[in-house]
Amino acid sequence: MSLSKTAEELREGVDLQSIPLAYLIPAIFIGALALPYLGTSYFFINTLIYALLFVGLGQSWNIIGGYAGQISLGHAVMFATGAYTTAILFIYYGITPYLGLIVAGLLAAAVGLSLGALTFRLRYHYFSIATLAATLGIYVIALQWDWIGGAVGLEYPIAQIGDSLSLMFDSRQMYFYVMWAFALGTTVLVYRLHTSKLGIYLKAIDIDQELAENAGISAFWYKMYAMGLSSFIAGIGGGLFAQYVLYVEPRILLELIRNVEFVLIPVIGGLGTVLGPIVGAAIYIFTREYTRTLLGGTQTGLSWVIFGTVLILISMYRPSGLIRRRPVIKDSNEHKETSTVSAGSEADDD
Amino acid sequence: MIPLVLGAVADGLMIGLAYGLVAAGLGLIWGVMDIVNFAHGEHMLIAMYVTLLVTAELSVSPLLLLPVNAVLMFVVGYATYVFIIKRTMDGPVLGQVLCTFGLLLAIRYGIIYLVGPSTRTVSDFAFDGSTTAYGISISYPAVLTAVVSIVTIVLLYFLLERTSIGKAIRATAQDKQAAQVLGIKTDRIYAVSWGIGLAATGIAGTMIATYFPIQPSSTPGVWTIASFAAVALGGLGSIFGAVIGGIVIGLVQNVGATFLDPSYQQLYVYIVLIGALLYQREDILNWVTDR
Repeated sequence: MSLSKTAEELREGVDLQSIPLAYLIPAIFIGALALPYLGTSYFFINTLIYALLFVGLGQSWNIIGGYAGQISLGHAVMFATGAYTTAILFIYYGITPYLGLIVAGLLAAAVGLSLGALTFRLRYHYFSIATLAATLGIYVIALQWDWIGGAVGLEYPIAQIGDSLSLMFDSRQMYFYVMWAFALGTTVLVYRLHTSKLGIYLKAIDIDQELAENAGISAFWYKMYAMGLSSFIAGIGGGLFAQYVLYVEPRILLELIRNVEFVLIPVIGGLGTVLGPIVGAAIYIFTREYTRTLLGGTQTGLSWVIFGTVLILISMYRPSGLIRRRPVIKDSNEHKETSTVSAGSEADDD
Repeated sequence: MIPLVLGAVADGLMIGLAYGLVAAGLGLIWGVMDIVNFAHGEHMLIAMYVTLLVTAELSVSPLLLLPVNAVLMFVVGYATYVFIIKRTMDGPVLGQVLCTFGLLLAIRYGIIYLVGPSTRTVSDFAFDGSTTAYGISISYPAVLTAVVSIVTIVLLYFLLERTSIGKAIRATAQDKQAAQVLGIKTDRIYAVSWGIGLAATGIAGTMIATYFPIQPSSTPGVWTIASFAAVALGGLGSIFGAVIGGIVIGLVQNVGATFLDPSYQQLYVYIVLIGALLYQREDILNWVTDR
């Protein structure tokens, strides 16, 4: 009896549903503060920093891909916009990244909105293709654009590490806290979104755009809203990434792989869920970093074979990710609701 | 100046025919079951590497590998549908995009892992060489590739228009339910469409490997995007649409590289692709909203 119940739960997804997010999110993030004390190796802290950064980036994609259901394959563009903006403002003009990050977010949002204005007329895989083409095109431009460093990129002035306004730190611990704050901020934002009118509208557009529009929701403008938010976060994430690695170049910022990472993390965890990107980033980054060391530098290709296979398996067996979506509106009689829903959809079929 | 124009046009036409063939394969899968194969170029890469490795090891002519690769890629396509794609068909579009994207990563990096990331071409090919006519240089392998592409496209046309399997494919593309009612096993038709779609990449890949430098991390993307653009330009449901689209892409690339900055060669294709998607022909648009 209990065995079959466990099997059922596993099939249905990890059941965190019974614990309210208002308790779960603080518990996860306060718990995460203890992580740097578990190991002091550079490698471990580095992995933690990336995991937290990618929680935020995953949340960014989650808004547009998970909630609004628009499969953007071009989020690296906004990520790169943020990274280049922060880096250029600091390197060329000496503007502190504390300000630069905000500019980065806003500029990335502007880029995202332009991309959205251009491509939101397209649906399904047409949207994916157009966003993919956009990011590949911008990659080509970035490689040739001398002002932003071309293919070589730009490096941060190392002499200023540790300056109070440089947002560059001697210790990895400080970066950990910065990324922790970024992950927490984005998670709280998505949590707010999840229960807000906007979140519900976006989900409605994802499920049936025509129906949503008939109900008076402007699909285009709500998608733009989501794109703006998502791009803003991606831009700040890009800026933080630049502050951490201390250089910007097209290859690491705009590669195809970057676009995939945005998608992979919420997809592994659970699309349109608040916890999905957290679970996804933890699984993805730890697998990525550890396979990288285990397989050695020249054989990094193998880890991408593994992630490709994971994507295929997820799409075959659990296209919505590990975590089930939480109902926004609590329903006391779940069975009754599902039966009416199925009756309704049957009626729609003719 | 005139030889320069002629040269760019000739090169564009020849490579464009190969783009057309690859795009016809992509368009067939896309049109029949509404799945975009993001791994199309990677599938082509398999045929390219079979050609590179077999010709290097056994010193046989790449031409002998044409039927081998066609059959191999047919089997790969058929199996890909039966074992993988079929299971995503009932799910959301997201699942299908993720699935072919996963294939892209697995195949591309699998090949890089197995044979390394270096650039290669078939070292000696019986038809190597070039001639100069009207002041432009034309390489024989490129001409041969264009000829093979034309022949394959014509064969593909007859397969779809004149044979019973072709009729079944077209019927399934038009209306799946009606085709099922008429006794067509649509699942098998989907698998066959994947087989034929990838067999086209097998033939094109074999020929391209004879004269084009192949780099596993960048070549497949070029071909995938070029065929997306060709299909978006030419419209679904017609092979010749895809072929004309392919020729346009070939011309845009080569003429653009000759007269504008050659380092932006790929950018011109991306721009044409986005433009074509945004100003699609009516039939694509209807077909999208009808799904």
